[in-house]
Amino acid sequence: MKKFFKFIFDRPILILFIIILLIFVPPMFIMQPQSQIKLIARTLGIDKVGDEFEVTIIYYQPSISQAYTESYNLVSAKGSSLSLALDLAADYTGKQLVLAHMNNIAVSNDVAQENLVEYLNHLVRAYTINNSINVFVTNVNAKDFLEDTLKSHGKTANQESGIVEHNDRYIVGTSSNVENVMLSSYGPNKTALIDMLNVSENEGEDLSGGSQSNAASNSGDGGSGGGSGSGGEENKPKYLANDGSVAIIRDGKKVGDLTRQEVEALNVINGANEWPKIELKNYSDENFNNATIVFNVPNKYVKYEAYFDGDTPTVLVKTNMLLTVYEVLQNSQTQTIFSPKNLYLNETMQKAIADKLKSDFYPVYQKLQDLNADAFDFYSLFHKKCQKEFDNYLQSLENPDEYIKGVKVILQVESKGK
Amino acid sequence: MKSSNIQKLMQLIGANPDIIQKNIKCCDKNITLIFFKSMIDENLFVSGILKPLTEYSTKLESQKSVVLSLDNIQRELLVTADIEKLKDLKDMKNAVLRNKVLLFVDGDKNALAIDIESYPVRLPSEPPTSAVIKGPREGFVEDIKTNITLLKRRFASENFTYEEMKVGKYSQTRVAVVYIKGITNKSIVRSIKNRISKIDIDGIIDSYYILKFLEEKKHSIFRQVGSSEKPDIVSAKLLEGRVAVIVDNSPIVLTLPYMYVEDLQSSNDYYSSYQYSTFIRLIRMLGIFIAIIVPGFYLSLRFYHYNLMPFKFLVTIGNSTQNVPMTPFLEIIFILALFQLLYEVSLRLPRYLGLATSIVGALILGDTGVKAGLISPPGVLIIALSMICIYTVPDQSDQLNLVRGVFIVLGGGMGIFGIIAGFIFIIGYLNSFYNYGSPYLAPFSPFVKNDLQDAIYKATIVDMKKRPESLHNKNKVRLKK
Amino acid sequence: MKQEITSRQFAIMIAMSILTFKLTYLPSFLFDFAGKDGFWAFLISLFVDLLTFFIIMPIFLKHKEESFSQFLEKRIGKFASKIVYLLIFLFFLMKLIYVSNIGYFFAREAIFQEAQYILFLSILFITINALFLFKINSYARTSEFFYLFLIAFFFACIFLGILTAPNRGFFPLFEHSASDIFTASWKSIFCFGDYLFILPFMGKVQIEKKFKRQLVFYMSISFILLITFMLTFFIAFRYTGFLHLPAITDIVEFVPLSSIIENLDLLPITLMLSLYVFHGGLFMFCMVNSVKDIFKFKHKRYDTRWLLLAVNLLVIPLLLFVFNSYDSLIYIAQTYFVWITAFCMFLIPIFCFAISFKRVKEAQSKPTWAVKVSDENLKWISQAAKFKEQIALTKKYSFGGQKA
Repeated sequence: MKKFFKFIFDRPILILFIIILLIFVPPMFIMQPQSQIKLIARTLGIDKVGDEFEVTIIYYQPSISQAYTESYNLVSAKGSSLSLALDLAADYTGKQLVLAHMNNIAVSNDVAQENLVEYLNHLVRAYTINNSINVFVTNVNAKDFLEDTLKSHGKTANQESGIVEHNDRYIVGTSSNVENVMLSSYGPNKTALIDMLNVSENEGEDLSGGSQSNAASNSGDGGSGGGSGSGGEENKPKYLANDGSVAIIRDGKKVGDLTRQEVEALNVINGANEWPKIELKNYSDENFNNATIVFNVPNKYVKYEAYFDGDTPTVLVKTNMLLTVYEVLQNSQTQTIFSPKNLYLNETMQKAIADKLKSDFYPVYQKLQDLNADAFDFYSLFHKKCQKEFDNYLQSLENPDEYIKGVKVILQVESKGK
Repeated sequence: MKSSNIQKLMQLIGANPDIIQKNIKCCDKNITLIFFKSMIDENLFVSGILKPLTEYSTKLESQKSVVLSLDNIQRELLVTADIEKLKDLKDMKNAVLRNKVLLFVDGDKNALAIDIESYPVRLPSEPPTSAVIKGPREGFVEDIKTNITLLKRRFASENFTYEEMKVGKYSQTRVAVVYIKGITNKSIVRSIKNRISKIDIDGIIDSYYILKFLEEKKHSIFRQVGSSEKPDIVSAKLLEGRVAVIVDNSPIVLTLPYMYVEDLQSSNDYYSSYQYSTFIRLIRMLGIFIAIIVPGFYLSLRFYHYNLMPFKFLVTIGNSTQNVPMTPFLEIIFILALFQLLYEVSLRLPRYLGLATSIVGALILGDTGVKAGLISPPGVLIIALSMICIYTVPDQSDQLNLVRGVFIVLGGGMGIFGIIAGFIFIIGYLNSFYNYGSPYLAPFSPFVKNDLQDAIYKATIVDMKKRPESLHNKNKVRLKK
Repeated sequence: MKQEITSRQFAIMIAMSILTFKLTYLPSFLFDFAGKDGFWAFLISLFVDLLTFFIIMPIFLKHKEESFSQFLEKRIGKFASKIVYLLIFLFFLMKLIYVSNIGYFFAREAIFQEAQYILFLSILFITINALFLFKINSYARTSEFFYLFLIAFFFACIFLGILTAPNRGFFPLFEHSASDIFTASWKSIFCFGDYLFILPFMGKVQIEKKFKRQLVFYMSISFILLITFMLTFFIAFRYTGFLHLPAITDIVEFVPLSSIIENLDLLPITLMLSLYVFHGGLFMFCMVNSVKDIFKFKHKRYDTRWLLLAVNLLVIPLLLFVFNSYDSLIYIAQTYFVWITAFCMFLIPIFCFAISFKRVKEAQSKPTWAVKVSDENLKWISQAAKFKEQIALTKKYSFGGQKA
């Protein structure tokens, strides 16, 4: 017995390893890899059908292939709460739901108009999703949207995240993700701009064709059997129209939306995006006659100054832009129009551009004020620059939440270039 | 008296068909020569012993005043360098067993032991495990004298010292402890000699037998004694302050103290540009890391942490493993076993069958197995990568193989936390080695700034002014300005 | 092999001890009380913690040849010193419980969604115990070995966070009241106080000339990285900090997903799990050494390994049955443990500082040489001793019997 203990004490690490081997190795012989037992969701759609939630999940389905092929499946389920609906959806597939690889959340208009933050809160806490996941609003049911995009995209059903990221950079200038939606509830300005992706019957990316897609869909709810949903509408062509429109989320709910033109009108005071183009219509001067000139904006610098003009909180926005002429459309185009000296921005052109931008901007800003949406976080700006006066201003209001209605914006636009 | 000595000697040696007792008559006295026929240089025996003796006896017969004695023979006659006068019967027995020729003269109970030992010895050639592009290509052989010569050639200094010991009750194997006085720490030499002298074993066949006695932790899988087959490497280590142990009948010379970083160094590094050597050492380190960690990490990702895998990798692995009937762990073990079998077979097969085996192995593993759906391409890739990377440091291939197995169990059973904890455990364990006073993982831990010049980064010879401080040698200056 | 740590290794151990508790739940914890101004609460706690360091360090440097037990026993006696050890033991016991529990919670959130508590504990405790059994020398070298990698990972996380996390600006300052800030600082004190481990390491460190320089260097790196990390967190999540736990993984979640790397959680996960193991090992050392000094066994079969086993048998059931929920642990941390931490963190160093000024009579050490004295010489020596005594007495009472 003594020899046995001596043997063990002389080789403690070996004995420890043998114990680990005996405990952990037998289960490994039968343990399945997680990719086969987990439901790896890529896109989640949330709808409200009456009082019930309907969730639609596009998930990755491993296929037997030596080549790289992403194949997806779709499952949807209804439940009285979001968590129950998600569990049911996972149960239909016989796998455990995990959202670690998810990068899109699509919500329908109805859901966006309710308390969107509550639903996302649940996902963040229960499923520990990344706050960098894209969120967008659809004009149709999220389920229909995802079914249609899955049929067409199939192989890369993640196209939406590319679109959203493109929008964030070039159009809106703010990130359309969970973090921003949370800020619309917990931030001081209580406003966020979220992308809207629409399905249209007129223009956009064609969704009716399909490459190597695997568009089987399972759906069901508590009682009735499932179906694919849109029967008679399948014959009509559908287009994914990323027209650049955004939804305005105020205090966790959608209160309105902005068209692409309106968003572009706001770009004059948005320093965050890479604003692609400015179009000047019906412009005439010594060189041009009723021309439509398209300018490219390689560089833009926006500076904010906040102060109180008497009792009125005022934001002075100075925008300096470097412009280059991209395209000139005029009835009688001659070579002289495109000679280098004519393409410099003269004072008339600069003034016309400034007037155009201001005339586009102010109505949209008025719309934001009417919706009580502080899209550019003037609250923090005033809080930083003139905190005391701003606090007094807030106290003077009947409803301090509606502070944006009293904020005046003055634009100064300067453009240079050729 | 002499004849009784001879009889006793023959009794001690025992019956042996190889032993020869030759008598030569000289001046009314008998000269008896006892030797092992197959273990001496016959030409030297005839020209160096027999012929001189015969001529001497003729000379003595004409000069009656000179008496035939051992001293006369030793002084005037025999020209061999190694002649020793023995008095003790036991020494005489040992001398004969050590392949010396014993010379007895009538009337003298003493004997002369003449060393004209000769046996087949391999010529120094390039060792297979230490091939170099540039630099010396000679390697140690199985003869201790040749090995000492190969080292001695590089040191024309009185400080080059070696002390011989005999180990093994039946083998009486010669073991030489070689060091450079004035550089090597005496306590290390003393400690090594002490350990070797305490070995009480029946026989020493190879230096590996001695190695085990020199190790501090007998049951550890990690190397604790360095080894090399190349004289230039061993010479460099002697100059750093290490001790070399040469064992007769073994081409592998042991060096102590051993530090892990030695295996990252190769003799090629010292004969190439330092930038390239640094780069290659980084590759070796990366190779070790890939070899031991990647299979376990792959299993942990598949079993527990799919969320850490980028999606594109998940798709590739998910699709290619969808069809495999085995669980990931079984698949990895199966592929590993196939590779190990292939490796063992390739070691033992004759060379002309090696090519066929390679083709069969490649076809079975690389193509047919995957097409049949038994194994998946990622699994084959992971294990193949691991197997290749293990041989970036061939001296450590044994232990890396075992450590890889440990990490496969840890990764598959405990996930990434198991791998991290296992890594910390192993580093802690290596740091606990005493190693003759030198830290095992120096110069990384403890951090020894001076020794970094020859760790991952390889400084130029011009910049290596000091010897490694981790070896606690007295004479620190290597290069003067 | 001498059980001594080099000064560089010790400086690294101190620098690493600053990091562990502060990278995961502390930022959102501070945010709960003081919002964005939790950053100031953090700075206050850091500064106060540093004060305790400046109290402990002079004691450590002044008495570098003595062990902590010798230091205490010479000045306050054996019984009182056992009370100090007991307090230190309890302090590090709670710390080890926090490391284990918070580590498990982190692992479950970050990587192991179905992680079992007992699996995590078994891995952690096997490694911690192994680090103890390999001795302090080996532990110090292992920390030194991993230090560069861990700092590089931490730097990479901060760098990625600065590049990719949303920049919401740091101004305006002090949107919350001073009482909120100080409350946050007070409630989060259980994440500080790790410098106390320096005291049990007295006498075990080879203090070299460049020790102070090395200490300043390594601690500066830790402080700079930590403050930058906190600043990045509070700038990026100035309104949503409570949603982001653990902070170190959330700071890198905004790296664009379209890249091939996608998820960079591996960096913070490796960093944190390694830090938990090292910190746990450190606490285990302090606990076992405290127990060793409380119960000074003299039995021939006594081995520190039995003490280690006893400590494990105490800690593991506590973790499994009593402190097995993160919420209850945080509650205890904010209500009861905050007092224990404050007491140990401040009073023990101040007490040790105070008693370090006490003069200690050095015991006469017996000569190691042995001299055999003959009887005659012995007689002479005793006469000489008496003579010496008489001279001393004469000197003392030189002025008519009065004391000189």
